Amino acid sequence: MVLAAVAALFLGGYYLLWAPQRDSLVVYCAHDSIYADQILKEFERQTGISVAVRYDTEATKSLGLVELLLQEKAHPRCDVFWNNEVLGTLQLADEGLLLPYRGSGYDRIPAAFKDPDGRWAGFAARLRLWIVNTNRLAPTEAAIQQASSGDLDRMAIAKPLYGTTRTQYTILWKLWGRDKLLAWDRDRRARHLREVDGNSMVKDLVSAGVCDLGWTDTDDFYEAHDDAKPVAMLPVRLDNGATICIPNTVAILRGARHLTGAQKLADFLLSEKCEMALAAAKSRQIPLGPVEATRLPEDVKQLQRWAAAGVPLGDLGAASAECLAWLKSEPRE
Amino acid sequence: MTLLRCLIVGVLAVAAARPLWTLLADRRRPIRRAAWVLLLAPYFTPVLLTGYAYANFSLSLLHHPALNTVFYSALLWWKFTPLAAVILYFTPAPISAEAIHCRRLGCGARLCMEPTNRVKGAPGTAPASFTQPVIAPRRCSALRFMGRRLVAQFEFCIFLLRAGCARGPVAAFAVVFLCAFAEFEMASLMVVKSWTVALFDAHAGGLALSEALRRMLGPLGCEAAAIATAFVVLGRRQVIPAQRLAVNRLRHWFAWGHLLTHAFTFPNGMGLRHWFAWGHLLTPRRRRWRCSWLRHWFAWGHLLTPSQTAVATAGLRHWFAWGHLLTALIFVLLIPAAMVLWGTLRGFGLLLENFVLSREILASLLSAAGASMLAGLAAWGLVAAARGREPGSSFCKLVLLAAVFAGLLGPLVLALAVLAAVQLPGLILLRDTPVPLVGTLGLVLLPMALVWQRVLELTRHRSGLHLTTLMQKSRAVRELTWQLSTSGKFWAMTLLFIWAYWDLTASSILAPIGMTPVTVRLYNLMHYGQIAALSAMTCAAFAAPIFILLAARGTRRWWAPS
Repeated sequence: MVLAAVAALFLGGYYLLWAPQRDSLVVYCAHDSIYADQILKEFERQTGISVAVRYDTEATKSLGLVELLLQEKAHPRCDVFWNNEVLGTLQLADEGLLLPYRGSGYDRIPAAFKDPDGRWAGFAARLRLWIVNTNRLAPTEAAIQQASSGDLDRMAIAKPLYGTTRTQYTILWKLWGRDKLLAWDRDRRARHLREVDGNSMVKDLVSAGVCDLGWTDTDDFYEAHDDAKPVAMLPVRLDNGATICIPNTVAILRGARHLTGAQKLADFLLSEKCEMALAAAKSRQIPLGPVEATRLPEDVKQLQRWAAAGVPLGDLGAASAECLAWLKSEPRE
Repeated sequence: MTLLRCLIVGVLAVAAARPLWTLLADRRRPIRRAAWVLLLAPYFTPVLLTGYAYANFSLSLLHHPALNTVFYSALLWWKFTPLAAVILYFTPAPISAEAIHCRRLGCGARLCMEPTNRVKGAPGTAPASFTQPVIAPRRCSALRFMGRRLVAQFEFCIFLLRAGCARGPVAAFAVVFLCAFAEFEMASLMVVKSWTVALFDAHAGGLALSEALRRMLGPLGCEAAAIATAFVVLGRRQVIPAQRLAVNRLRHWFAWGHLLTHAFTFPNGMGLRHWFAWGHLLTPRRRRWRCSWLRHWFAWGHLLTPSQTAVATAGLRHWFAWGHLLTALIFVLLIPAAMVLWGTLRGFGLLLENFVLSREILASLLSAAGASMLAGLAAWGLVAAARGREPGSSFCKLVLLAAVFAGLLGPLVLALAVLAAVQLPGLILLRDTPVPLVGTLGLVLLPMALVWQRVLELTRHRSGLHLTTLMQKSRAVRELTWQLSTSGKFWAMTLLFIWAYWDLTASSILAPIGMTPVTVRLYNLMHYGQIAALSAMTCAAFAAPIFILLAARGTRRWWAPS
């Protein structure tokens, strides 16, 4: 009797909770849920289309939504993939999982940040940065150069197996080739470079003064900056002076069950309104398409200038796989 | 490294649980109740909360990884010692303290007699106190005494082990080891190296299931050994007759082997021998102190059963027990809770404005309820079915074994396997339902449910329960039935429910779209560090299952069997 009552309660609860989601537009979202939630709710409000989201998590960052999409290749259930970087999207495009779509949003994004075949488009980017504790180090190119030439016990980066640090290593792989990157990486680890779990940890370490400097992204930097921590930033520059600007990407999956809704969401995400909303958020995402400059926050205007010198990322597909294979084979602490 | 850390945590947890056990069995009800509350509070504190609170502190120890590991291990010890204490409480020694004392007396001259007696030629049958001054005029005499003493202690220990006195401690060790070994969330948040974190890292960019299983083989072997130990030890019920414990040559060899191990293992082993040999140079007072110290050092059996040692040091143990309970409460619950509550006060407005976690909390409650029910039904139902002699019992045994093996794979590997399985054409219909998540969590909980089933079965008051069935139905009888039977199951199910509610790994991989469990959402947000709104959400997530359980316990008169 008790068991039957509990089971009925259980099934009823599940039905009430789960049934309304069955016909929703399915979005896999790797962008931080704290920001993405507001955007998707606004989309729901504007269009009346219900959205069911699956967020990427730190817990499964290594499995990731890209892996999931590859697993579901034969029976896709995702309609729109909102990725917070470009490498995973390139891999999905190479695997033939993405459906070309050139809508109104696609047209306003510069060619450097979208696939010519229309399989994906970038928007609302982040920059790779040096984050410096201003109590310990002057935020200048020279000071950073000097600090990173000796012992690196007080410098932190995220593990290069994931996220934007992996993108940075992939770019270096493409620019330098395997041997130079391998020697550079081993030299830095021999000088006691600290590798931690994520960019936010790098930000925490530097802002707390445990480390003097590190690599992180703009969104993490502004977390510390807004908390009035003693931090400053400089863009990470490659040998040729280019910066590393990593956009969010949006793509529609082949076999999407809600194609019209998916196209509407892709256009919405690539719209000026969405880019402005993300630029005004605490993460200060950098708009890639044309926007009304007067409405942009001052911080973002500076970032936009640096982003203009961003290295192209559209041809990193092959380098990404090779670099990842090397990173996984390299014993790291 | 993880193995060594968890072995140490397991041993320390059992050692600390002994004095706690005496507090839990205190005759005074308020003391007993306070001890139970203080004991269980750290255990029920979610690792996510503790890990989140100490994440920044651990980061500050980046340049001192050893200190960070020690602190993490201490947290594990404080958190899992309650498990050991509860298991010891529910598996008391099968023979009385009086019987043990009689055995101690009968164990022979070596255990009770002092060198003084032998030197003076007194008969060695009467028990003598160890606190009497020891006179060791010759070095060889002292060494012989020590050797005989060790052999006698070893025999006594064998007696205790064979009599089943080790069931509780060994099972407690196995369970604590298992929990500490499989811990992932806190290790990840506190940047501590462990095999679980390493396995996660190995999944970067994808890892074939076969490779994941290969990497799991070693840890799985350790976990299987711990579970098997707990089962074998808990399964021993028979008390071995004393006459079968006669000393033989083989045991002497074992005893001397043990002595040598002590001498080589402990740095003070060699020094101890010299210290003992030159004892005649000491003052009587120092000798008494030395003998007391030695008694502790060699009293192997003190972990297994109450002894004279326990009585002599009862005061100290009492204070240690209270100190341990309070320290565990402060570090595992109060400090993290204070940090989260402080953020909650500041972020409550933000919580109301921006984040409504009710849906996620409800999803977690439902998954946890489903999984704990499944594990409980499997543990109680399958064990009962497998025990009979009917033709189907062998099949049930096989199913049980397969389910336990699957559960031992842990949430990560099992969830990955289930995820791959639900992509197959025959199972694709289940993919978008809660079935894979609830089933996986149920399997993960099954080994622990079986341990609890066994513990409850061993402590079941059959005659008392039978008497209640003969009595006239009344409120008092209902309460008695609850105390004798249902309460144990209720608390076992509560534990399973709490474990399932706070699961992160399987939930993040298998939760149906649109039904994100609260742990996944919180863990995702914890990535941004400690912010006020997040603290408020953590507080809400923490309160929900407690409210449900209090409501369930408060309404037991309507649902508990009478």
